[in-house]
Amino acid sequence: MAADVLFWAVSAVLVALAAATVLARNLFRAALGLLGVLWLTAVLFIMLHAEMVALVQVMVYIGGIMIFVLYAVLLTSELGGKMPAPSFWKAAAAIVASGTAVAMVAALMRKSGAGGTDVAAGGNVAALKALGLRLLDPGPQGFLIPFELISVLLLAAMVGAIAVAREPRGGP
Amino acid sequence: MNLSSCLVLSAALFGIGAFGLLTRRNLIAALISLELMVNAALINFVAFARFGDQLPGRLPGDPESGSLFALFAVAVTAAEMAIALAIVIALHRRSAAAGGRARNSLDVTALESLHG
Repeated sequence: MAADVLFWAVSAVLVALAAATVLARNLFRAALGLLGVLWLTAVLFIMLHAEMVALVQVMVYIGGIMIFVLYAVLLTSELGGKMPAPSFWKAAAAIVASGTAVAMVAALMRKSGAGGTDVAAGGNVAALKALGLRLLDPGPQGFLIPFELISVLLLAAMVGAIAVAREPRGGP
Repeated sequence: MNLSSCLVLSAALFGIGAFGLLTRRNLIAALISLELMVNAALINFVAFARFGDQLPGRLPGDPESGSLFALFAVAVTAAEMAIALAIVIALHRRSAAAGGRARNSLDVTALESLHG
């Protein structure tokens, strides 16, 4: 029961922060809103017993990607600057479009009758050791090949980002 | 706390992110909205891994592969954001060199040369 109260409290703050993120007129505040959303999502992952994902979320998203985003904001826009508000019709159209997507998901959920009951505590939990063994398992259930591919992808993305962002030779 | 409440939460977050992606004109703000949508998808991965055996007539849940899918998604997102922000900085530098106003250099509706 306490977990339920905590879940709904976290969800309410999450939705409020996400709304603040997409509605903020100042880019720096939008980035800070995203930071809050990512933290609370890590809390949610802990509550769902996905501790590894929560740790990676904090380290990679908050420690890496958010620093990237904040640097880009500080480099490219003035701090006090305000972005223009979207026009009424554009906002209305966006509400209709995103609301349709949410309504379709809701209808699909009702039709499939997915999960209205709570699981018993400690039911379906990924232990850290099992996770690591699975990641390096070359068998049909393992994730060894994606693991190696993703390291190549990250290296390529790093080299590509440096190549794209660096000063052109001979000055700008 | 059960599967449908997690799915409702992630659908709401995804909808908010989609709204932001459709209304924002600044490139960085659009990327921030995109991150919100990716985050909602991650919540779905973890929720299905945790509550997967509740689905009627499905295989029992596989908690490890749910977590691993989320981890791979985080890594791909990190790569994507690195490239996207490098492009943002290159665009800004180009428009500053051309004497453009810095404020409008990241307006997505003005980036016509990227339409292809």
